[in-house]
Amino acid sequence: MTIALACQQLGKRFDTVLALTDFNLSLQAGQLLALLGPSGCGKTTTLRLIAGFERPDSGEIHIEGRVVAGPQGFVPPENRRVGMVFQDYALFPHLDVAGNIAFGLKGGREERRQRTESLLSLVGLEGFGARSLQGLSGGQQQRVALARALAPEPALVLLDEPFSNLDTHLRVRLRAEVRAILRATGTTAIFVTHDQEEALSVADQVAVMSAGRMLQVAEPWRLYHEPVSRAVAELVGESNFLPAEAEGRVARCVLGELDLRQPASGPVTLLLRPEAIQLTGAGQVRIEEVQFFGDHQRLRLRLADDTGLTAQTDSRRRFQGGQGVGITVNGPVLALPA
Amino acid sequence: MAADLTRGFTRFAAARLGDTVKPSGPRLPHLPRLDRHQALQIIAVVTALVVLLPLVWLVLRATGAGAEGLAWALRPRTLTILSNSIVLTVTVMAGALAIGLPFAWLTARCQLPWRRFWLIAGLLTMVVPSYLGAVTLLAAFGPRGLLYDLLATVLPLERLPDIRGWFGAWLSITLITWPFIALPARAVLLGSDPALEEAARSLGHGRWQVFRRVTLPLLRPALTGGSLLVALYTLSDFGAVAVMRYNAFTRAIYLQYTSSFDRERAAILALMLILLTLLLLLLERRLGQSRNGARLGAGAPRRLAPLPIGRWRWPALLFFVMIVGLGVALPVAVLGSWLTRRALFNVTPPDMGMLTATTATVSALAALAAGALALPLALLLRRRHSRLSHWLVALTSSGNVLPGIVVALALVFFAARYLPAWYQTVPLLLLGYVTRFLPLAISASRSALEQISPRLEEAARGLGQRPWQVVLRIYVPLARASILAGIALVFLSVMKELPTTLVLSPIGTRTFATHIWSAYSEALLSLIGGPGLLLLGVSALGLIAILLRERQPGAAPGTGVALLRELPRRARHRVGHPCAFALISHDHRPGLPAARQAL
Ligand SMILES: Nc1ncnc2c1ncn2[C@@H]1O[C@H](COP(=O)(O)OP(=O)(O)OP(=O)(O)O)[C@@H](O)[C@H]1O
Ligand SMILES: [Mg+2]
Repeated sequence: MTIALACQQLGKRFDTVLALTDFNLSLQAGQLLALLGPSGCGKTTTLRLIAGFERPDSGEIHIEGRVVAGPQGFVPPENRRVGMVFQDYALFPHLDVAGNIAFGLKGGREERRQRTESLLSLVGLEGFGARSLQGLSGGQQQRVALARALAPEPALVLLDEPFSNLDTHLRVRLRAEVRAILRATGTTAIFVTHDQEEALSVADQVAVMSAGRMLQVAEPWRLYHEPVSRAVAELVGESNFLPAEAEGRVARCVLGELDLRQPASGPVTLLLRPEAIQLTGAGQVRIEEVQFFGDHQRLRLRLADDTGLTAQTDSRRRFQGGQGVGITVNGPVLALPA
Repeated sequence: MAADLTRGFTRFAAARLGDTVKPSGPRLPHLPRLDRHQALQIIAVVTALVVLLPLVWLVLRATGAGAEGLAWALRPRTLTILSNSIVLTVTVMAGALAIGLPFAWLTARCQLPWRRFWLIAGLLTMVVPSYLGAVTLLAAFGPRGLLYDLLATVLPLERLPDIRGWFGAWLSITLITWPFIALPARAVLLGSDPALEEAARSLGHGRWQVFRRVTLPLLRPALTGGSLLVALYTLSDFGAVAVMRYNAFTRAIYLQYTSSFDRERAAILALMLILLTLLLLLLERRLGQSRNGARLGAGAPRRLAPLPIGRWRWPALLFFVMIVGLGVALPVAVLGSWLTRRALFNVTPPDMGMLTATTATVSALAALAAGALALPLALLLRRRHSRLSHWLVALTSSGNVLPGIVVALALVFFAARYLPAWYQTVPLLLLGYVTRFLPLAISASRSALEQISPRLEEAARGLGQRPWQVVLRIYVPLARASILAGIALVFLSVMKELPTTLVLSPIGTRTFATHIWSAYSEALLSLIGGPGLLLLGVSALGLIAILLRERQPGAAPGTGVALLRELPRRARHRVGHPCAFALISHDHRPGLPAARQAL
């Protein structure tokens, strides 16, 4: 497996705002990476640095082994082989669909036409070549933008919040489609998102950022079940944190003794995902609130010592606020540094 | 929205007719009287008739000449006038593009030293009326002008080449029309989505390729629209063409009218000019409807960082010094020199008090009349389903779109034939001004009214207000700033207007414009200094006042806002509104969109 992209110790400052610091990232060819993080954490800045629209203040960027930005020099965007899909698509309004897609193509007329045709069918827009952009729906515009970025066979495609302009329904469909297209073409890609469900379900690797720093890069399962810090756990999924005393594979907390995923010792913070908490028959734990979602339900619980917990179960059993229940913890839990 | 309004009105109408629908307000009038809509429509019909009848009469006069007239129109001498006009128009367009596009690019995209200064100073060229620009250019670069005086001290020169004729007219008009191109082009450069150019970069295109393949196509509508404005301006300009003795239509019409008093031939020439203008408008309509480069989706607006210009810095600065020097500094300096040199000559100085009073009075009267008429017409335009009214208002804009000399001539002929009592009177002069500049006031009011939600009217009606009360209590207070700006705009325009004043003012009634004209004709240049400077000063101040006024938060964007938005750093994404030009040029075409719609 070759490394398609490597960012080393990137730093970028805008006047007073430190947009990126000590940013490291490496991505293998053919993988799809989701960049997840709260608003203003530097996701767009990262993409713009990789694409060459901004220059890093420090650090290096390598694309397919070549240094494209760093102390030695700077490769302009047109020579980087990085395709970009912008949040607002940025389609050229003076060109038709085929004109947009063919924009970055080189070679003879016939060759470009054929490539355009094959891209149109790749994104499911056969016969749309001569259409103007005006009549296109949001999803169609999105697909044109993707085809345009893929046309020159870039080493890397960057997508900045590609689905945020679409309604929920279309969004779910389109992200599966985009994933399939990227897979089919074996394209290495990074997409930015706010939406953790989107990140976890679509990407091979998820990178979590906060305040200009990279917190963790991991495949979705690990990221969810084995986050490296409380900050990551908070950004990905719902969590309960409990203070505990660890010793080997066991930790002692208000819920008693729990099994640990990895051995630890001393004071730790336990991460309990809501679905790890199972409700048993009547007991001392009071249900404060029930949120019903149809396929599952989420319960706010209050322990006898006033600790609050969130639990999630399937939706078949019926609960009521004020009801007393018992709980057990399912499987081993993760110990995070206290 | 329109449907809501309709419902409101039908309910009102039904209630008036004693129908069962009961509005919640107080007792309703039961006399059959006009509703607001009908009253407004009557005003529109009358205004359109007043504006159009003289023009119709002019056309009838011209076509009345029949075959003989046609033969005269096709004679080589007449055709030379046509070709002169076309040559001037085309060359001015080229010149304006050559200045306007680099100006827009440099001020919008480059790290230019003193960028804002050059922007504002450059745009001030539009404050200079064409006749004043031409007179001062002539004084500076004429055969025995200031440049000659300077050169003659070191070189044994007899005289400099004469700049009068095509070159002088071309230079004067180019120097004041290039902002028609620079403003919309700059708005596009600032407002188009930077991601478009970034996308092109990431698709393998270098800077110059991006400019050619993305930026230029995005600019094309702005450049075409701007060029057509320049063309319309050039065709209708009288001052510069007359001063530079270039025999284009406007000058030929005026000469035909004054020298021989041959009205039929003047009318034929005017008709030819009208046809040429209509041709341009049709072209504008064909070319003007293009997509713009605004972003399609909603994205975080991001500005392209200004490009460093490096070694281009000095040529760029030279470019700005030339434009600002010739367009602004030169007129002011020449006028100033005349002011100080006056004592050398033994001529009676103009009675500045009288001149100022006359100019201010006619300008104020015309401006108030236009303001009073504009409000009802703008209110009428709010009613979207009323196609007829839109047409009527669009037709009234012909007084603004057609050249001033043609409109003035039409009025003179019409009055001489049908209104002898009005002939050579101040009311006819005022009528001429209102005909010319009413569209300025309408578009100012209109843009403000469009900001007011129809919900407010409905709320007021629900609270028992009659339609006219809604106008007085809702619309007028909310649109006040823009209505006043429109009035101020008409005032400034009238103050500078030459052809209408020249043709229509009664003997002895002199404004700044006609005073400058006759002083120039009699070669008493020193008399121009005072009035000229005053004219420029008031125009510049008026411009600044309108801009500052609209800068206040909450002021409805209207007249001048498009321009204003270009000036502060936080320029908005908006293609220049024709009204922005109207603000600062002495002759302008806000009637254009309306005319386009009418065609
Ligand atoms: N051109 C710029 N000039 C000044 N500050 C900037 C610029 N671009 C980004 N920033 C700042 O850098 C920080 C990171 O911005 P960035 O756009 O990368 O965030 P983001 O993670 O993409 O946010 P969002 O999810 O809201 O799009 C922010 O504080 C932003 O204000
Ligand atoms: Mg962003």
